[in-house]
Amino acid sequence: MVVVVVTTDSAPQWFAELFAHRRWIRRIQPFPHVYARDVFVPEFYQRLTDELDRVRRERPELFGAIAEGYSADGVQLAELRDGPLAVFTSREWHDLVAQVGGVEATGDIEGSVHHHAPGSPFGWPHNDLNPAWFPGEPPGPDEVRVPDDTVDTKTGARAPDVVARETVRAVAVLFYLGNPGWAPGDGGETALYDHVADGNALPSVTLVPPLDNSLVLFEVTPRSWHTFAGNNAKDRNSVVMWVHRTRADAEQRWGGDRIVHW
Amino acid sequence: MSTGERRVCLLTGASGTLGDAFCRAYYQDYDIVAVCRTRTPDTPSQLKWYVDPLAPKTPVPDNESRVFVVRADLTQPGEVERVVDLALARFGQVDLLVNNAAQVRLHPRGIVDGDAALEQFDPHFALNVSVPLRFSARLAQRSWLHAGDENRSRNRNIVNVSSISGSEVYPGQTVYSASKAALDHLTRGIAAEFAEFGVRANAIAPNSFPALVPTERVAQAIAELDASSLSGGVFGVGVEPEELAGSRRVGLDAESY
Repeated sequence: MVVVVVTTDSAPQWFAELFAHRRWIRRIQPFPHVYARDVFVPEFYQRLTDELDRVRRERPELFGAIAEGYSADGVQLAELRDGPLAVFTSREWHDLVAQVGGVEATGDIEGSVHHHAPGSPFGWPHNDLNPAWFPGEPPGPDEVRVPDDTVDTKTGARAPDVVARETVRAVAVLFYLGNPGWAPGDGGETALYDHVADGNALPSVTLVPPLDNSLVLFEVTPRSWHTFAGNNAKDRNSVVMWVHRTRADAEQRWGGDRIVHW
Repeated sequence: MSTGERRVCLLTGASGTLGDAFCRAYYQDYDIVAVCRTRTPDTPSQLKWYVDPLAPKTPVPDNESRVFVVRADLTQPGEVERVVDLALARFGQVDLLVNNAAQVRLHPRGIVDGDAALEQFDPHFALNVSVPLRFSARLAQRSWLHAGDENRSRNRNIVNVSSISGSEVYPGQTVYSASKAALDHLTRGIAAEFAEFGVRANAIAPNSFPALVPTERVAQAIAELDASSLSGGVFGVGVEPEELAGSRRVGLDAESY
């Protein structure tokens, strides 16, 4: 498999102009992650929320359960490639995420727009170090691949004549949108854990608020423990997505036994 | 070690309202040792720094001035000494000590309403008086005491963050006010004693911030005192003259007394 090392130093102008500023914050606690407020310029952020409203209004059938036992419903990003939300499945965004996360990514993108109804329960700590199967040959340097109906993203199940590749989630991004007026006490944060191993002591938790036009981004590792903090007073919306690394890269980096199968 | 160009500031209470404002306003002017108990100031530090999302491998100039965060509960035995040692190990010197950490618990129904005021006496005097005393003494003993010429050439000094409550009586603030009054006079005593080896000491006594005076202006008063040659004063910030009985009326700027 060919892995393309990308650089965003030469990001096209149209892409660079989407960003409100170039000062994101890299934090090391409770585990390394990047946090940013006011990610996109207001005009583009408004287009993103307008699109989310339009999809919810005109295509409610797209919203389905994200996972068994998980409190969110949502829409796959692969279904949203005909409007501004397509930025999250663009090659430019993929390359930016991979570079900021510090990984060599494959060009494969998976993700959804998540919606948690008011009063959603606390999730459970997980690290996202999961496999993901994508259809077809590896994408070229200017391409991305997203899941389709021919391959089960979680298991790789497919017809005998279908080509697919196994990857592992490499960098996670949570972008918050459509949560106007969020204030402390409204709940629905993303909880980041320093550890989950010691049953005798509560882990310290950093709560990332779902502020509109903000994001948290982190390399997926065996210790990137996080969850949805629940108890949201209002609807809580976000884009949750990953870029991926090859299975071999993940095994070399973390060991194959650390990969969490579905 | 210090960059050699910037002054080194040891600041307690660095993640509070004033501490955070001071760090954000002056982190590119000072090498700051930011002493925090839980949160951290919103500036580049060893715990967080800026990255350019479009060129993440390109150095960001703002990161060249990183605050050095030290977590400490200063009321615990040995913590002040540990912080002083870390500051000197990191930068080799301290030019400005800002005693900003404070205990603030009000008793709106008075000191006779239950035991709360009695129980809060020790915590107030521990953090608001004893910790500034200990920082001043330890820093002098470990760095300043035999360096008079260097102290004077570096214009080294202490700024204690007091309050207008240290000179005025406000309902519900008896214990807090008493601790700040003690801090005011501790400042005067330190100024008199430390003159021997060329270290100045002053206090600022701001009005309520950010409600009545902008926090940034209080932070500015600290920097102005650092740049001055004043010593032994308690200077109001955002305070009308008649509100500051017992304190010197010396202007740091046109609106300070």
